[in-house]
Amino acid sequence: MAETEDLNLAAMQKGSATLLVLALIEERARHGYEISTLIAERSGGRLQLQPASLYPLLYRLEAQELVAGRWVEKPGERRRRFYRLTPRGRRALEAHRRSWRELFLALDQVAQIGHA
Amino acid sequence: MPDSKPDWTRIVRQHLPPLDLPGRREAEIVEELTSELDEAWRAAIAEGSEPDEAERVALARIGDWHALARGIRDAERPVREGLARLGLPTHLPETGPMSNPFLTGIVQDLKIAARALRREMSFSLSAALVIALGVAAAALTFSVASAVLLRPLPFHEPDRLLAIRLSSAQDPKPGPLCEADYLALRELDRSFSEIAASYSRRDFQLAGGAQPLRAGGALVTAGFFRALGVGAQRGRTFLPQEEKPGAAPVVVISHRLWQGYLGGRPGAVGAPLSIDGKPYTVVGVLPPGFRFASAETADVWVLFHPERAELRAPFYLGVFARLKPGVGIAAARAEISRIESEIKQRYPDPGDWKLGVADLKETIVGASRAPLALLAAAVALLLGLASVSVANLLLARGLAVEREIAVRAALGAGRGRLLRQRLIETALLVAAGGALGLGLAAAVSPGLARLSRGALPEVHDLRVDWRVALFALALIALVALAVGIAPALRAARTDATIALGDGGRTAGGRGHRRRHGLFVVCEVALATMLLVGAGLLMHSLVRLGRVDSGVSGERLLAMAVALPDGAYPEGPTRDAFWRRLLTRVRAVPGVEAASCGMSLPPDLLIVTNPFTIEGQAAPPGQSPPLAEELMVCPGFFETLGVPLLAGRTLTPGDDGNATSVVVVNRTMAEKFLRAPRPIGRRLQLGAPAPDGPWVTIVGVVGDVKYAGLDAAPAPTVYVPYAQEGWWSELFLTVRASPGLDPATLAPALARIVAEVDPTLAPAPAKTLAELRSDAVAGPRFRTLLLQAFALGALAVAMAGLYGLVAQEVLRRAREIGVRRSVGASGRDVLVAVLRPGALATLAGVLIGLPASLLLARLAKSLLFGIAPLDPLTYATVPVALALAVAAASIGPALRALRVDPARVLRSE
Repeated sequence: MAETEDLNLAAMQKGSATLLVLALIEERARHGYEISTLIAERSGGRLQLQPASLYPLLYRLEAQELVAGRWVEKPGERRRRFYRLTPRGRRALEAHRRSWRELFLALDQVAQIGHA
Repeated sequence: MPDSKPDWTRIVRQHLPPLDLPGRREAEIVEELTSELDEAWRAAIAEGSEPDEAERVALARIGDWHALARGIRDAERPVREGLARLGLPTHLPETGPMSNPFLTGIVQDLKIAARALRREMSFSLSAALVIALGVAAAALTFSVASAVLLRPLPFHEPDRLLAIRLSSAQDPKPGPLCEADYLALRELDRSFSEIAASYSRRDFQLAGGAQPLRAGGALVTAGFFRALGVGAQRGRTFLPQEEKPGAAPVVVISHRLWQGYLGGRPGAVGAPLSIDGKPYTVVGVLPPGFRFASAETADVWVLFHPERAELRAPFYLGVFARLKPGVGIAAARAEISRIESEIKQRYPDPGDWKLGVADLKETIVGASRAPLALLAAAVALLLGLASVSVANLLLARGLAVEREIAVRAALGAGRGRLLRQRLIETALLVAAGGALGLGLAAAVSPGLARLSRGALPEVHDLRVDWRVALFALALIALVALAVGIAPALRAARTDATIALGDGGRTAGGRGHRRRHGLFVVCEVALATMLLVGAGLLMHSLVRLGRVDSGVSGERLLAMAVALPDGAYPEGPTRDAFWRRLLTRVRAVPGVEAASCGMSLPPDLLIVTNPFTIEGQAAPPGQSPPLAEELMVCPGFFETLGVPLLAGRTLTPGDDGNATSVVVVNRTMAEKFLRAPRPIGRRLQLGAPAPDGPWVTIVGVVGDVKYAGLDAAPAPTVYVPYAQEGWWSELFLTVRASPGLDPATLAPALARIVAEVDPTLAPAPAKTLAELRSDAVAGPRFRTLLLQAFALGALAVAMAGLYGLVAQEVLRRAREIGVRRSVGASGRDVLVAVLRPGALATLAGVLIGLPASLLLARLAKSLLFGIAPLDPLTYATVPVALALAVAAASIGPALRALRVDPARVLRSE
């Protein structure tokens, strides 16, 4: 992975972190570690959301009532904080998806990303 | 493996810089990071790493602890800032597991609201004051209405008490009965368990205490207290046999008289009390506070024996009855009309009169309904106005705090929470205003009670009682709902990102300006209605004040003097007393003239009597007309300044030995005798009696109003006291010398009365101006109240207008600057900023004036001398409003003129 590429991805990723987090907890509630691992896994390691960015982001989303965190205790396990999408978060996710879709379309029309 | 597992909590606490968050929040974050590291460590172990290696991998995930802390602090900052901004501690106390989050939220919201209201004192004060104004007006009006209309009469089963009254085609207003009617009712009735009659007298002379005392009282039949269902507090009330002729005279006294004059001695019951020079035995003391409509200040209650069955006159008895159990008012009505036809058969010349029954309470307070309805309508308008302007204030403030709300929304406050917060804030404001209003009402009510005494019946203990409090609270809740919903909904709709994003510059948006303008239109319309109502009453009061009562009332002083029947039986003794008294009084320096008469203007009429003009007998089936009848001493007309129009006045020579003569007034001469100089014509006074005595008319004088300033001119007959002296209480009236205040003669009059007869108790003296002022107490009271309401409304409307113009100036400051810089004149600028206010006022007046007709219709029966469509009032109100608009606009308008173009443009 070339260094320039990495920098670009990191910069681009910053704006998309909210989308990623919201999208990952859309199907079911997940805890922080699971979210960051899933981002890395599903993007084939190209996208990384380190705890230093993930947790502040989660707290911000929670304050905005887009996600709701709940401590879940399972017998014999350390308790973990699971985040799920609120109805408000669901609407926000839709809005984010729409914006990104429009952005991709626009980029594609201009720069033919789809054929790149 | 568990042994080698790192203590993540310790590690996190070691590495993570302080977050400055509330303790609980920080602990939570530490725990979550611990969990993150633990998961990562486990994953590494699962992939085959050694514990040391796994620990390094896990820690590497976090990377820069300081960056993490910064990120968290940034993410959490809105919370801290929001809390600080709202005046809350940033470190919230830990909430225990048992605490109720809903209640905690409410308490927190209450605190937030209280702080926010305190921070914006001028807004909070003006809103609370407007609410207080509305609530105080409502509570006061309601306490008057409840004292007069709602509180039942303080008797046993008061709804079973009926008044029986007489009316005729000539005099359709139901009035008192004669003794013959009362006796017939007693004899023939089967529907009532008790029928009682009474009439009140201002003046009884008491002796037996330290000195003689004048006391008010009433003459009643033995069943009076039984009918009311009122028992004595000590002793007893009257027994039936005590009414019979020859029975020993007994008296029931008020608690007040017993406590005061008789010193509260237990032995007073059963002891003698001298009344009008005759010995009575006190048989009972009434409960404290007992009063009866027609004898409000009565202290002594004595028996009288209606016995004149031969003559259906004069009419002076108040008669009421208690329905038998199981008998309805319809049955009673049927019974009364049966008795009526029986009476008509008994008396040879039946007139067109009718007996009617009405609820006793209604007969006492019925006349107050119209003014109270008007006041209630006015209060409703005022409350509406208060609500509109508070809503307006709240809305304006809602815009100002939109940014704050946006912060709260960004903090994650949900819509429900925001709505609740605004509602709580509103409720707090309204509660404060309501409490202030109730306090105001409680503070004002004693003064109002004083003012309303004499203006309204049955207002004795005017107080803001629980009913009023309940009413006011209900109103407050209603107002809270009305004013709270709109701004709260608006707050809930506020889009956080928009409000935050554009620096909160949304205030003054077009929609808001339109709403503000609409509110001002409402305020002006409501104020217009109240001003028209107040204007009509004021104009009417002025007209009433200008009514000529027929006497030249300046320099006149009157004092009631009553002679005890015992010491002064009807005849020469009485007549001699008045002659002696008048001789002494006329000798007092400063007394220009003095006389005595039975009634005084403007409303102290005592007796009306039917009369028949010789040769003009009333047609069969028609009642003879009624005349006001006054017994007067010589010099009466000269003293009062009543002009002599024809013939002569009464002289000392018109005594028992001379021909019976009368003087009549102009209305009697012109309307009934149809001659301006009917000297020598003869009249019969009382019920028509073919062989009854006749009196000869010797003079005609000007009309004098004895039955109220608003009464139509009525025929009046003056008879010489020396010829017809059966009434024992007269008004001693003196005219002071020019330049002398008549009130200064009062001590001299009291001294002379006491010298002529030391057993006579002193009586208060009043100038005729005071009597006149007493007579318009009712109209003055309601006018004053409505005026106060209207002024309050005007002030509120002016405040609204001020806000509108000020806002317009603020909004257009830049535009004004630009216009000024390109040479626009001050006039152009003024037109621009004053336009919205002027348009709103115009619209308000155009709506308010026609709407005022509704109020005017309520006021119709209260108006004197003007129509509900009085053009002067309807023309004055818009002018007054225009002046108010100008006054409210002047400040902001001047500010608009002072706008500095350079500065405005620079700031862009």
